[in-house]
Amino acid sequence: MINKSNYEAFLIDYLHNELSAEETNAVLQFLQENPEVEEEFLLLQQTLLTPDETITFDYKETLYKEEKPALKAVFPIKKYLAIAAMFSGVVLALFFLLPKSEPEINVAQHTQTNDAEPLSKPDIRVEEKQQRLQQTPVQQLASVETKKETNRYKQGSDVKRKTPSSHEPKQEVPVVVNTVETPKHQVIEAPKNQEANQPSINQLRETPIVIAQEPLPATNSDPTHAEEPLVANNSKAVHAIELNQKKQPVLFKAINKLLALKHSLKETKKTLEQTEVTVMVGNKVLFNINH
Amino acid sequence: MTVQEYNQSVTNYSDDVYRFIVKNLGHSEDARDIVQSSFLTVWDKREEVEVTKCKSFLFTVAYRKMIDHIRKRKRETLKEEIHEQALGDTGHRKDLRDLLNKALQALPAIQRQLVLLRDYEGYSYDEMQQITGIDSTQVKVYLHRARIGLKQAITKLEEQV
Repeated sequence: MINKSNYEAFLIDYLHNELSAEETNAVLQFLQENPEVEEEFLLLQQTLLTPDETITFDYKETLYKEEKPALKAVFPIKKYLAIAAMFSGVVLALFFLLPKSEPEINVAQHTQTNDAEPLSKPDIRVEEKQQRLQQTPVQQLASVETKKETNRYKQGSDVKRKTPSSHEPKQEVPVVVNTVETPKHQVIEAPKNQEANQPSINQLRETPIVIAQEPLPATNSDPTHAEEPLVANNSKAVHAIELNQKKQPVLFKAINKLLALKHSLKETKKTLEQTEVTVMVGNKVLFNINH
Repeated sequence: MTVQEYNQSVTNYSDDVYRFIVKNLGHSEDARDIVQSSFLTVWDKREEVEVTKCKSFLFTVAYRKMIDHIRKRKRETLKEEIHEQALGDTGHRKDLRDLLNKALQALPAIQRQLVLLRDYEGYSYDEMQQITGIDSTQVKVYLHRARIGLKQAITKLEEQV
């Protein structure tokens, strides 16, 4: 308890706010009862220092730190674009790299002409055969049948190429491409539960493109080829990629354009082959091409 | 503690810690170096230091750096001599503030440090124990001696007047 022998320690602790409420009350009461001690308390109170506000640290700028800029967020659309571009590239690469030689392409549009039967889904079918270097140009036949009403919505193309074997270099082998009379050539048959003969737009939009490639034939008459097709027909296709016009509209359109371009190139090639070229130096004929 | 919180601590506490150091060392250049070094430590430890304890941590670091600085430069004896001379001049000064500053510089280093922590920053005995590493009972003893020394300086001034 505070008394005249220990009051100084209590007064200092009181100035330092280190006393409890009870001790504080005791000190205040002791000061009232002892005026001479109160003078000493006032003297101790004067020893309390106050911060000198004139003293400041003038080098704060050297201490501040800058926040690192946040990383820019990558838009998710870029990811999907990259995936789409990669997928398109792979498909196009397959399209161009799988044929080992220049193919001949027939594009045939066919429809189901029988009104009594359900309308088949339009197909675009590309079947290719590799051409040997020694072979003569391929003769091919294609049949196209169209029906105006249905052709508004569907397009189909069958490309089939058949080349003679190396053992028969001069033999011209006709290639018969998918006809209406041979429905087995159709890779995907239309559903037979259609209510009417007219197909719906949605159904036609989902029409797949089937690219089928035939393997290299050892001989044209090789019977083993007939046992190889992956698709349910008599063709010899072993590779097939189905493209859906609705799901891959851009790719669908691009492939159609490529098929048309190949067809035009083939016509150009035929024209060039039929052109006679004579190379001369002065009046001397060096050689002739297609003479 | 984020970068923004660290910068805010620089704004809020750099003057306080600099004032504390310069009052103890009596040397502004050394005090500036210690403050910069202390904030560098705070920056390095910012992941571990909470914002609410930033000031206490800063003063702890600054105090220890100041002690190391005093020990390395062996300024302690020199400062004591200077302060003795300063005390001799106190009779001629009538300004209480100047008198207290002189009396403060005349105190032993540990007492001066504790008085500054208490009066300038308002730290309690326990907090000063955490900052200085000195037991709170011993902190109390040092502070009592410092108060009595300051009171005697004031009494001496009044007697001269």
